[in-house]
Amino acid sequence: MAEHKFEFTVSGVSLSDAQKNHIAGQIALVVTRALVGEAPENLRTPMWSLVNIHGGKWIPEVEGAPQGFTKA
Amino acid sequence: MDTRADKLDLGTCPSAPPEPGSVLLGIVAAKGQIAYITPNIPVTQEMMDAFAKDGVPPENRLRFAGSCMGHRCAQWAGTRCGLIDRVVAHFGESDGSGPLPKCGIRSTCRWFAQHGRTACASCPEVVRKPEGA
Repeated sequence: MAEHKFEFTVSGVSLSDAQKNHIAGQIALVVTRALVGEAPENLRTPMWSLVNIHGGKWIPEVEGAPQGFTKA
Repeated sequence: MDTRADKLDLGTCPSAPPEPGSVLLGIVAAKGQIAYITPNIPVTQEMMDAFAKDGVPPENRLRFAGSCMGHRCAQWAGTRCGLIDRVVAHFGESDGSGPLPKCGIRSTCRWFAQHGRTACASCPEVVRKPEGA
């Protein structure tokens, strides 16, 4: 399993939670840009055809009902 | 980083919407491939605005984790998550060998609790909202 670890330490100043979250968010953006590039295309997988996915969010029952599988 | 998802009995949903209290689980690098980020990064409005500015569709190219909502989620099936049951039924059982990716929520993951390593094998296949859906 490929794994890449980048470790940085900010030393000598006290960071607030907001500052730490800001830095973490910027790291997330940089990693995303590196992986998906500019203007990334949307992806389709068989799972969407199998069932609407709204994990963790309440939606009307009929909208969340399983769909018939069709090849994506 | 402590998140709301760490505190609930039903565990952590690995396909949650981006909202306050949820975390960035990983980036959908390609179809069926997720780059998991550990430790998970808390979702902020600033982060979501930045993704939008970059043209990254959050529900398609990013995966978020948050509290399992149980019966309040359309995927809940009685006493368990029906979504991962269907995912595993579709993609099949894993062979149970090979290293697992370093995932930040495995210890509390609702899907892992139900299907173990098989859930991890199928997890990258899930995107929440493809184009045109």
